[in-house]
Amino acid sequence: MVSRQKLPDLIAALSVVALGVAVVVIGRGYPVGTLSRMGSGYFPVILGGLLALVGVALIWEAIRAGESALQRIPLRPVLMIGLGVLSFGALVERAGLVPATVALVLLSSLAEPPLRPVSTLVIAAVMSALGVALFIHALALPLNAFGG
Amino acid sequence: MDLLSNFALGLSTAITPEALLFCFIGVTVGTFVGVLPGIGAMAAISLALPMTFHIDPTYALIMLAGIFYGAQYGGSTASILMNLPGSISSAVTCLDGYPMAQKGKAGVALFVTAIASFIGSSFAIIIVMCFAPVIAEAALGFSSYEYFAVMLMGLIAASTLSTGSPLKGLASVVIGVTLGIVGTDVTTGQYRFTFGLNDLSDGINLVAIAMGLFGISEIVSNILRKGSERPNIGKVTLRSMFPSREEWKLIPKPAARGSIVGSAIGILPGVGPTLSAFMAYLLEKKVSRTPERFGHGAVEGITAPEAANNAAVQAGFIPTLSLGIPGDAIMALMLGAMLIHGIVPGPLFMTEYPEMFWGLVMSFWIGNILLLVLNIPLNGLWVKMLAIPYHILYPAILVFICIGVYSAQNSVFDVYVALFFGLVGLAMNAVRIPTAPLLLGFVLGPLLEEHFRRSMLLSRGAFDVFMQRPVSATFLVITAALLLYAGFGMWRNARRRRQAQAAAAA
Repeated sequence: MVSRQKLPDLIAALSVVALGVAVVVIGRGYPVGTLSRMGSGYFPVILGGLLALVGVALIWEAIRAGESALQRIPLRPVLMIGLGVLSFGALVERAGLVPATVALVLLSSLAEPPLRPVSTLVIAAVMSALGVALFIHALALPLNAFGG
Repeated sequence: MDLLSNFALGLSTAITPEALLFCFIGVTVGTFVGVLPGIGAMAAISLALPMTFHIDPTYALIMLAGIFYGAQYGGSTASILMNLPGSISSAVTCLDGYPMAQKGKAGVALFVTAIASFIGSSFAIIIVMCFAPVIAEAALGFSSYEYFAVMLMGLIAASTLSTGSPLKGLASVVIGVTLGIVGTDVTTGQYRFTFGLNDLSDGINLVAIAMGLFGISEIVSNILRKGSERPNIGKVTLRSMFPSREEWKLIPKPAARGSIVGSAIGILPGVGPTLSAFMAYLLEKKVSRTPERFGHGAVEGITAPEAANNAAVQAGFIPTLSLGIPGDAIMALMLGAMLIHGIVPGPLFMTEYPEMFWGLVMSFWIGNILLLVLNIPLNGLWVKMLAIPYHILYPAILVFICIGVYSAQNSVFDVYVALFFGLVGLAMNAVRIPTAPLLLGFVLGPLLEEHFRRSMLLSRGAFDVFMQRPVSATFLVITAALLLYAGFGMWRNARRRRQAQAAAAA
């Protein structure tokens, strides 16, 4: 019987096994060659096998180990910061550095309640100005403050 | 070449106005991020990395190194004042530093820390100056067999000696090596694991991985760690920092022992400042006549580990610069920075770029003196800075992360890669798989493969050549011993747990 507390470790161990198997399978698609003349697939296959082995050992460890405290998965910060970074990526080349920065600051500020409209706007303004001064003017990145 | 002329050559590089400026920026930024819990040297160096592409490599290295050892100085401040280590390697300092602060001796603790750090660093810099050239000289005779064996030992040591489950460390390092495969195979030119994406043909960007694992994921976990937001910290005045005569007496010997422990452990690839601080603490407790004072504010309990972790940071430059093999993830980033600048660290580095090597080493002296001068009077300022609320800091840091990742290669794809590794880092933290070995594996992976393939080509596929050559045989034996030691530790823990369970059931 596997208790719920062991579940995260078990999932992690199974993911490692799955990753290892996937690396072996994909690696075998490349020329493997021989030990004295390795193709580009040889080393990946070894690594994938090793990874799968370590994963199996992790399964064993997860089952035998004592209870490990389950860590809560932080949904709200993950979501808001994720969205912030995604919109930065989407906007930076199309709309410019300033809109991208503002979007990132506004969205990521929502990661941690409560809402602080004034300080958020101040941070967005300061970081936009700093970004333009430092990265566009001083370091001459090929970006525009506004527009693609 | 004698030491004195190298000394002069290095000094002439290190005291140019630009070098001084970048050294100053480095140590100040380092102390800043060290003081703030939650942003480590790792995140700071990955943030600074893209900016260094625009400056001279010597100054870039001086600045990045300054961030690294500066963070060691700052890391203890949060440990002492808030019982929250600013960097992992100063966690041990919490044990006696925080009790000292509770007794109203925070100032003394901060002062002792600065002095001990300076002693540890200075000792290790001398070791670097004496030993790095010797090791580089010896390494000139290394072939692929030796390189493969040393790297393997470094990777195994880094993954199994850290805290927590050695198996999880091992998994992390192997995943890292595997990620290093992505891109174009150097030998055959074949695209591997690129999934048809053009953006992956040069491999995964180091900056993006590092910022994701150590920047984005740390920000998310810090947001959750409530209660650390508004610490209640008293004032630290200059006068309150001066140790009493009895306390002065407790500095020299523990500092000397810590320096030796830190330098010895720091030289080994794979084991960084955290382990050396821990070992120095244990040693100090063992040699002490009053071990019961430890954990309740013993001055020796902060002196020795602080000397040790700073010594380890400096000594860690020996394998990185002389062999091209970084001892920990931060050194791996430094190595990455050098490679990006087209400089290959290794035995030839010192002879090909003497002004860079000796300039860097001499800048360590200047940086450490700056830190001593900065830290004692500015401690009050650092203390105030600890009160900056996190909700102001983290959006700003995120902006720097995003622009930094983008600017490394002007690539939006890399921004998404960083986000992906931020999620990976969170998942790994949740199940306690350490992330630092992954980065080390990622940087060393391609080198490991190259030397393995070359070895097998030279030996015509015979494995026993590794054991026939004394240097590679030695390293492989050490590697095997490390694995056995880790296995034994796991077996012992499992047995203890079973006994405890049996005792509880009875």
